[in-house]
Amino acid sequence: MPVKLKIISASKILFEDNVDYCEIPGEYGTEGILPGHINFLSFINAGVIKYKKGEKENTIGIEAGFAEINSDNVNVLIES
Amino acid sequence: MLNLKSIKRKISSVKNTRQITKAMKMVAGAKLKRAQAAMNGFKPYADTYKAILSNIVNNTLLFKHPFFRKSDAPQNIGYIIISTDKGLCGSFNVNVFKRAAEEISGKNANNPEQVKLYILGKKGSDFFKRRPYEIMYGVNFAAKNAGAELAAAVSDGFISGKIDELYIISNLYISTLVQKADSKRLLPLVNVKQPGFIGGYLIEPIAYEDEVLDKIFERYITVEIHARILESRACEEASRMNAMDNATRNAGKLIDKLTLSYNKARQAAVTLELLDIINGVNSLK
Repeated sequence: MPVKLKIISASKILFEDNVDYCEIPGEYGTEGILPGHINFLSFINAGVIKYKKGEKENTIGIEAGFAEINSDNVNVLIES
Repeated sequence: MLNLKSIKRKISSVKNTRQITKAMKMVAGAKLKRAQAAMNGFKPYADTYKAILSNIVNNTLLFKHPFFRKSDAPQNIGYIIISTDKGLCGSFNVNVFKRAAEEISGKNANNPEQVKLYILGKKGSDFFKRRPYEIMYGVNFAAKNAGAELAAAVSDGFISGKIDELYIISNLYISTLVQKADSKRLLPLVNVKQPGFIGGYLIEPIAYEDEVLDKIFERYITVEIHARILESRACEEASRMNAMDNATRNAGKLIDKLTLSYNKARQAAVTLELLDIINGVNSLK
């Protein structure tokens, strides 16, 4: 069961897809997220989000904001 | 009957007006496109934010943010009213004001001093200045960061107890031709249990849990107001476009009518002249 990663800025959806694994730059350390992660809420720093889908790995540069994880939905909201 | 010259002058003046309204319509159309793009671009952000917030609200049972303060008999009610800076946009502002008046007369009919208004846009300030309500905050769109400042002002007002409830009244964009004035309660936040997602949140860092939530709640008001402002902007331009389209069409009709009477008057003058000549010739015979 994949994780649904959604990255949204104030002006558009930057990314939306099902991924197998992702890493977000939390304010207090990078957070790795696999399916079944605990529901979670944190601010995030500017940095990169890494994600893995199948064998493909990719990164997305982001600004600061906050992230919410609930039932394998990862919502990253970027303030700007 | 009007003489030829004055009709001609009138026609050319109406033609000028038509040209202006036509130009304004096109400008509004271009602005509408931009406003629509901004509105649609912000929508996913606002929707996700709202969804997250309702998750938080429904899962953090013991959370005591002042935004949850609910008074049984709300006294001072705050209204955010989003109007426009410029006129010539049809019934846009009137609809908002009418809706606001309905809301106010439903809730504070007897004590107008309990109505606290937060107004965006010059037209709104002008309209409510003459009424017995207290204007807590009035700002023009021309001001920078109007939305963020307004959000700060209302949050402050609610936390400090100056207002017990907060409503936002603005136009909703349904289509280019249809806009609807709508009122929605923003504060206090209400804990509505909905089935589905249960399970609470781990909030990082745990030591500053309240601070994290505070920030998220405070920003929520900004997001909500910003989304409404963008929507209202799109409505304004759509409404202006329609108004100008109507004005252009009316000017066209008026020109047709005036041209007809101009031709009639000219024909009458020609006929008169002919009669004169014929009479003159006849008298010489």
